[in-house]
Amino acid sequence: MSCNNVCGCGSSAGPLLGHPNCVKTFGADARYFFQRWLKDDGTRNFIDFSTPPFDVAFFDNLMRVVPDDEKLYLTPIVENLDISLEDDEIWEGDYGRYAKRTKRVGNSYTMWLPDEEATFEALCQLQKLECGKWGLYSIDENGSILGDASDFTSNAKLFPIPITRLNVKRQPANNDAPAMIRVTFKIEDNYNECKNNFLTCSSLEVNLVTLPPIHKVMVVQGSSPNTSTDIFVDVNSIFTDGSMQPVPVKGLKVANFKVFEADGISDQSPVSVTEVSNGIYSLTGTYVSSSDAIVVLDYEGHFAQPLTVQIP
Amino acid sequence: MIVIGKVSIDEKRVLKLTKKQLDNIFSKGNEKVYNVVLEIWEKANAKKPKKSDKPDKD
Repeated sequence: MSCNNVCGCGSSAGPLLGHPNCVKTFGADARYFFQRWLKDDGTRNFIDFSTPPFDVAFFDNLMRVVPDDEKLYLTPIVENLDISLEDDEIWEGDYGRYAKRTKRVGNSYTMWLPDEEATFEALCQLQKLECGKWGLYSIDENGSILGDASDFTSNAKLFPIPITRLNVKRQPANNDAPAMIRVTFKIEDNYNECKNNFLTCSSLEVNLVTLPPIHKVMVVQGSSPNTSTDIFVDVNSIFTDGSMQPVPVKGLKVANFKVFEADGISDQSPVSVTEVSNGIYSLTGTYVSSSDAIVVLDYEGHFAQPLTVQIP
Repeated sequence: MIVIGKVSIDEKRVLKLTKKQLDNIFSKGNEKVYNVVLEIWEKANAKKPKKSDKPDKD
């Protein structure tokens, strides 16, 4: 019997609810990974849990390194989560007969990101979830991760749970509460939660409750002119500190920068990196004259679009 | 990786440079950095047997 059959009409079997001792349960949702429902090639996205370890590097790769259409986008801890259980549609006849239709109505979620999570930059980032079709994985208060496990037993794949009608609004601060961002969405109709399953925190080598979300930064051409041995870049956070000045990303080292020729493949990474002043870096190496070079930031927990610079 | 003040150096990438490239890149900059880089390069290249050091087959 398919899991999507609501009533299992015609079957004589009832629910078999016995279970081994100490069965694990999924706790209250604490935060979410969002992921595009489909990759650009039209195939479904998933997390492949076939090859451990599932540690910080595993999730950092999925949040930062893989192509944008496959990335996991992690929210901060959410507050005041409200999940409204929506009743499935019931047909009722004039003479009192009723029948449960196969249509399931997805539950509705409302969550809040308060105070320092409720910046205008965060609002802009979250609004990206309003475009296109997305799914999510829930992370509970214990660090377990839950998703659509319809292919989990055979292939160790966890798929995102499909969501719809995602809407993001910012509520300004008032006398009673700080500023907050409200995110609402629905689990897609007809998605059957009996397909869900989860990995407990003890199966992972990272606590997903404390894993920081990716910090978006910008790498831009510095004010000093490039040469065939030096590329100058400024690295700033997209967040502001209230002074209308960019907030520099300090302390980056040579391992945090990669440089490629214009083909994006040939490695020209710098031999040394100097932090000329806060957030301003000189990448010293041997670059091909009269060509373009691509600067890529490789910094755990941070993401920047690659920057193309001209070498004179 | 070696860190000297605000400068970080990738030793493996230093070894990929020719002496001419190394001088071109570092000789005009911070003298302390140049000396460290040069020392890394010379130490690594001193270990490599020169072609002229190979014994003749005959």
